[in-house]
Amino acid sequence: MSGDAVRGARAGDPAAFDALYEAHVDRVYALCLRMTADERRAEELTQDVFVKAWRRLGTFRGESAFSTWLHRVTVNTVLDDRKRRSRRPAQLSAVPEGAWSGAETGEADPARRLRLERAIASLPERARTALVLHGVEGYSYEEVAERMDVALGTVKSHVHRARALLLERLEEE
Amino acid sequence: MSEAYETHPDEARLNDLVDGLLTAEDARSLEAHFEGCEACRRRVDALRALTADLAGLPKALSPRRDLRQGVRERVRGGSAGGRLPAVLRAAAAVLLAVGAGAGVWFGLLAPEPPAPGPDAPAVAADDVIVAPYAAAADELAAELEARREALAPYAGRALEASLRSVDRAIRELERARAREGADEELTRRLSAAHRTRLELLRTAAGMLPASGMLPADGLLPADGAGGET
Repeated sequence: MSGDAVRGARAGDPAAFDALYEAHVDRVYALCLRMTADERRAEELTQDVFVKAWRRLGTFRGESAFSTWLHRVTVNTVLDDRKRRSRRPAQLSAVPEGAWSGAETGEADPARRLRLERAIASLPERARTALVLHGVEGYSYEEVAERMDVALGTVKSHVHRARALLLERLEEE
Repeated sequence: MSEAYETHPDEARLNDLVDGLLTAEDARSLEAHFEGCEACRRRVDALRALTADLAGLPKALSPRRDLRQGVRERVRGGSAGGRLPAVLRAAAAVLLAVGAGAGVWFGLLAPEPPAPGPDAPAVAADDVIVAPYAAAADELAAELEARREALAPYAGRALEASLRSVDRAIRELERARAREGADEELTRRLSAAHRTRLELLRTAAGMLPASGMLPADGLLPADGAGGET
């Protein structure tokens, strides 16, 4: 389906783009939400990602899967947005509990996941970003360093710190 | 380092073990340390459980409100792959046909047009003369899109908001023209709207940083549209 939808969307077919949106929006939104820890901002950035994808489909050469390309667009969109925005304190309460619902069904322990999501959202911004990209999304340390434009050692420090803070906060609950 | 740790390994070392970044020999020496150190063993067990939990988090979460309409509104008037929408080709052509005119904003803003419907007709490309300006405007729009991030955030958002307003006016004027016929006043306003759109793009191009800056007259050198990001 994805190949046809991509070809259709590139040809300017809104229905094909709708299909791409439908197939990928939850993945894009999850990444935006975890990276920003801000529901409203995650919604805006998700829209930004799809608008950007629509406008730049012509640059998608098909050398990677569309989902991989879109994932990269998402990470870059969130990081670019962060660079543009003034330094703001973390919004610890910017993700209401309900925002973490709607995930895959069949979780063994939803309460445990909710505690973990809350703890991730409470992390300092850079530590959270590095942790989400490496620990949740599976990027290597080298890839995270490249995306965040920081040294490898810095990324590792962020991830180590994030893990320590998570363990501390999960123990407190 | 083959001997077992006599002092507690630091946190970075434990994380390296969890991440599989240690040599087999280093890993063995750490494991040997854990046999006699309950605290370190518990710590590394906790780190391993945490990394497993993180990796197991769902990769998809549904937004609590439908974002599709917002995306549709923002892409309306645009087209995939950086190609220029017909309405903008028409704008360029109208500019050629009508010539320059100042103060079009004000002529455009009154009266406020009602909200457009989803089936608002597009400007037919053959309605106007699509001249060499179309190619120049095409490049202008594509370059602006490719370098959208080079615009200050407020400028980018202001540009998008302004374009939305102009697009809305164009659609409504087109609809009125289809309904009532192409009288002189409607045609004048439509021309003004198209010209305003082109002026907006030119103004935005003039706000780009000097490197690779586009000439504000919209007659552009080809500059590539960027990579896969």
